[in-house]
Amino acid sequence: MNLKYSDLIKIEKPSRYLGGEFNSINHFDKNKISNCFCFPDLYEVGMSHTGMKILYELLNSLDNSFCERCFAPKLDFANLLRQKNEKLFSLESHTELNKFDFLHFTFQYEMSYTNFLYMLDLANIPFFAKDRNESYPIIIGGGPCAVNLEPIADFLDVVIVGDGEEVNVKLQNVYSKGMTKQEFFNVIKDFDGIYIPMLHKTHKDKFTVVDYDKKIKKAIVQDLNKAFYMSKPVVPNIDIVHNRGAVELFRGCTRGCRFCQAGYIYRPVRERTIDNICKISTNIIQNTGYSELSLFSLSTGDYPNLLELMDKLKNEPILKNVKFSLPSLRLDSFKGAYSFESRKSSLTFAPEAGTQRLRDVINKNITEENILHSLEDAFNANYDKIKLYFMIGLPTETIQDIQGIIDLAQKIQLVYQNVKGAKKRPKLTVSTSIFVPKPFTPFQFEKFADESDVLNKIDYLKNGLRAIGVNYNYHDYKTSLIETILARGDRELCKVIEKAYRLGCIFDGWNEMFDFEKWQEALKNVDFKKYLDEIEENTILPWEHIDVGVSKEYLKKERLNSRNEKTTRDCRLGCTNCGLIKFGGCGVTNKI
Amino acid sequence: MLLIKFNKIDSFAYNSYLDCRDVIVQTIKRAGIDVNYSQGFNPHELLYFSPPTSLGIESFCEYCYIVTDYQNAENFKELFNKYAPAGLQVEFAKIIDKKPNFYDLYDFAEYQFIFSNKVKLNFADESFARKMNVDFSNKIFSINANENIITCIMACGQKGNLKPSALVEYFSSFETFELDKIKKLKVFKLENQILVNIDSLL
Repeated sequence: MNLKYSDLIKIEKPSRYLGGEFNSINHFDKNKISNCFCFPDLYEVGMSHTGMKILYELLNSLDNSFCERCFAPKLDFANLLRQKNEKLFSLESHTELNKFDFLHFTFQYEMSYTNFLYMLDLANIPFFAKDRNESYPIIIGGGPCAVNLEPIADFLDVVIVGDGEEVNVKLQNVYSKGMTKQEFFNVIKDFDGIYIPMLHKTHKDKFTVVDYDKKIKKAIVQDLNKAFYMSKPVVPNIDIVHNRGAVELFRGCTRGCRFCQAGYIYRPVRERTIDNICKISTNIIQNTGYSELSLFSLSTGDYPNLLELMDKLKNEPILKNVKFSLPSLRLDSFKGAYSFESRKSSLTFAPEAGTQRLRDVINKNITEENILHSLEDAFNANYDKIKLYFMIGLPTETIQDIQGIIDLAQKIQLVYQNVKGAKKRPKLTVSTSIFVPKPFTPFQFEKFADESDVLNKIDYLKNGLRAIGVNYNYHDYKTSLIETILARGDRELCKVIEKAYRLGCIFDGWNEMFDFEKWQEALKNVDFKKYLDEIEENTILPWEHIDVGVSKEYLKKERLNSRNEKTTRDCRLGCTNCGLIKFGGCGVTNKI
Repeated sequence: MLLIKFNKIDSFAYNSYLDCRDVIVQTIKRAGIDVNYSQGFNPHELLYFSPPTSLGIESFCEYCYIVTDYQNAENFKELFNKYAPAGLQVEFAKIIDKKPNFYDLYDFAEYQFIFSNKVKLNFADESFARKMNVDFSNKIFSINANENIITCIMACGQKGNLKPSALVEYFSSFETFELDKIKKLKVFKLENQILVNIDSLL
């Protein structure tokens, strides 16, 4: 890197690109396997990602490897690099990305695909795997989108499906023996969780994988208590989105909400013990100096011993002045959690649908009574700012379900008045997103809602909520449309994404950067309606070759249940035979 | 109470004043040293900093007054430096009784401007020196160039203040150059027309 004061001073927050944070490593060891963890979004977003911190520390704990970091730069910095003829470099040793053995990209959301190409472009690395010879790094993709990375499959050498903790160590051990890329791919191709797109051809016209029946089984860490977890996360020098310590209480979720991809792909539920969580928490606070710790999971209130855990954490001397946050609380799951917050800020809940009928369709498994009781508790605990999340465009949704959102908001106002007095009003905000059908959910076959239908419903909500004095925010339709195309896409989209990038699409997840017209232009010669329409259940899907454990038959059965407005129980209450049992047992199943 | 003098160098110089404050608070926590908190609805650690140095300027003369019952200054320095990120280092720590008024002490600071190439500006040239005197009256105490480095002692206090970036902009109206780095080396109080390093006054 050859950037000087006169260059760096012109860009916003140069510290994003320079490293030097506490707990980061500080030298490029030529005798070890070099890894760079690449996050296709800004430093502030990427540094808030727990998975990256775990893998960073894990790879740096190995004798044969080390790991650095790189984030997508803002346009000002990218322009500076181009102007100075510099390539994108890592934060730690300021080494150009093309000098590493491995680049690990995580895909947390589909809208980051163009940023992946943006980073490769800035690093002067060819996009297509077939164009990269031995001199280029091996490019690995992971994260939740790994269950269907077909839209960027041509750009990736390896995809890691599932938990990364164990499989990444295996890859390092194999690579340390010294071999060509092809030899390496041949050795690792049968490991659990490893998918090498170039070894799986696709049908010319359908773009789905030919040998889909040879399933790629996702990698699973069976016992989280024995798995690696960070104890010395890198502490950023600048403020980031979630500037705090983070402890994962458990992985997976048993609720079975039919729209939720995470709820299916992270199965089975694996819990950390209280002792393990306490040990991790004290280590993180001691080694970072953070004053806030997030106890997270997909549904934190479902941790079976949360009260006991909270008591134990509060009694740890080093955690005396630490503020705990419990994200992802369900409305029915844990009322006492409010007492954990020393400062009464806002509470956010996600009923997802306005009527009981629609909540049953999506298997949300909460009742209006649950919602109102929990909020009454919250109001009694002096909370007065409530945010509620809903989805629009859900299967079978009618205008009555939209009216249900307004009715629910009104009932919440009444509960508040009962607690606080007739003239009082809570600060209530309703936010809606647009339902995106995702792979490996019972709703993977569903149609993406029409624009006119969604816009009518948004207008209806705007008027209805304004009339009762409730704030309303809503998500942009067009972003969700592209997200659906990318989420259910196949390899035909590789060229579309490349074209979108060439047209100037980057940071598509950022409203101010998203340019729908450029995406339309990129999609011009593609029949993209096929990604938006309802999919016939027996169709071979682009992600058919991936096995996350939950069977397609189960997903179809769940879809039928949704049509019959029939709920499915939480699998903590009894196995629902989702198919996980064939993965060597499911922690929850074994408890029954 | 403790007074520390610290350096903010290399990449760390690109952290803002507020970010730097947060990093120092976290470093002290990691070192296991208790700092006193303010009273009130939003208690915060009682730390008082010297006037900010502009982003990107490497500083060897930052000061902070810390309200704490911790009494071992030498130990503080050792622990702090062990737990600090790269580019942040305490040069000295000492026990003091009273909070210093940094703004009162700050009159002039010595800066070094390090360029990629040799500087052609001739400060010895009388007509140029006269022009600078007019443009920056009373704001420059001394200035000289040596190879690729310009060293300047310039006003940085309430009585007068010259931003290093303004001076750089002025230089660039005479000559095009690339600036590698700017270093802030010392801070002075002007006493009877003599510059006194504020280290000796704290």
